[in-house]
Amino acid sequence: MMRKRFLYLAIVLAALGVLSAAHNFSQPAGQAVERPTVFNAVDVRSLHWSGQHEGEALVIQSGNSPFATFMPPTFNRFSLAKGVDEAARRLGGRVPLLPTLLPKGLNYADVYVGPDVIICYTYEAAADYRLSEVGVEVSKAPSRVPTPEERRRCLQPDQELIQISDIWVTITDNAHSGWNRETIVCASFHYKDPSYIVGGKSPLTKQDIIRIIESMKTPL
Amino acid sequence: MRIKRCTSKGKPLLNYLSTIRLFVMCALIFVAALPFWNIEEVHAQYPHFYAGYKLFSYEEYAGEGVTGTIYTINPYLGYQCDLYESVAVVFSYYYMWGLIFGYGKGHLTDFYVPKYFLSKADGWGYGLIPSSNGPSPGSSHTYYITHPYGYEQSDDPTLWEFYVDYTQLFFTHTYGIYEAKDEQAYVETIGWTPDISGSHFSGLKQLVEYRQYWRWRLWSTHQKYESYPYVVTEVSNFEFYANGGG
Repeated sequence: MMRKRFLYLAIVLAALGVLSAAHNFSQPAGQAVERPTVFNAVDVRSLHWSGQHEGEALVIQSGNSPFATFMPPTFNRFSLAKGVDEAARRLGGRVPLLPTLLPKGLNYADVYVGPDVIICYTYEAAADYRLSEVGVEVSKAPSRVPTPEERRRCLQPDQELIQISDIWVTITDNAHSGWNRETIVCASFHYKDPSYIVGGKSPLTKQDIIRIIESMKTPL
Repeated sequence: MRIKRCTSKGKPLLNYLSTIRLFVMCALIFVAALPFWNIEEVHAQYPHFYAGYKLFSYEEYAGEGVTGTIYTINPYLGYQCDLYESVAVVFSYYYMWGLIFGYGKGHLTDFYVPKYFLSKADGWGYGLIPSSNGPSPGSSHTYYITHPYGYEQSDDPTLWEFYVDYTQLFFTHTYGIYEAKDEQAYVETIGWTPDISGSHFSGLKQLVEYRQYWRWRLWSTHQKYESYPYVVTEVSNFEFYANGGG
């Protein structure tokens, strides 16, 4: 009798465990597993931002790598409305391309202006750009940028070279972030001087990032 | 009737079934406990401390290389501590990718005397490659990181080369990244804060094109960064001392 009670208790605990595990491994609300990502047109007026004061300074700490790392960068954070002008000033007058389509639910946009420019989109207010779901890093381009043929020659097996309009994009869904080794989708390209890195976290796919790049335009 | 069956022949079978039941109960309890058990990898804490300069060139491309002359110090390092003095190019601040080249010592690479090293972080991941040789304490050496594609000495945009006093020590290829976003020159300690007094960086230069010629130009701007207990003493945009710790 006593053993049967223990058996019931164990079964109840196991059921609780399975439910808890299922909850832990399920996706955040608003995202679907193995379903196409739903995109919405970006409405700049409805976007929130994570900061308190326009231009607030943030030092992005380097984390706990056991190896030598870079000195932490210092960035000033702005809302998208204010930050685009600041970004253009940082980039020598070039206004960066911005996505006009984003996965549904990305309601926060922050612009980080520092050694280069990082524009981030998140589901919720974020402490800094490392926590963003989608990011666009923009910087001044060098005088010699690789031709499509040169890009093709140095492709790795898990990289792909694709043409989007008149832009040649190197893209992979198997890159690793230097912050935490998380696997990310990452694309890089040059367009009219600035060079761009566009990245996204799982569950966003290579196709999602391509769609975001296809939608990128200079804001009016 | 039951009592009868439990005697003689029935007993071993019942004991066997009880053992199985007990085993199943233990397994179920173990499965139930799993989600509540923090089985995340316990990461060792590696606090980093810095003293140095970032180029932070405004409205201008960072350049196709960086160079700087670094004086070699050889302080006592405590247990689980590393010291690096290096120049670096940053490919991405968003993903913390780039190349670091200089000398260092510490437990991770079995450096009991200073040795040259290359640290690389890009889409492939990150890692540190030590050289078999290193600078003598008290000597100064000039370290170079160059991108031959940028100054038209290579057709491979992913190739980067590393020199000490004009002798090539390393070369590497990067993963889908073709240019620098920023440059840095700095002292870094990991795990503890040994005394870095005597650290001296000078002749910090970026490789830029000027009237169709490539030349090393002294940094014309900088952003200082220091973390307690270290102190950076600025001499100019291209020279500084670092002290403190111990």
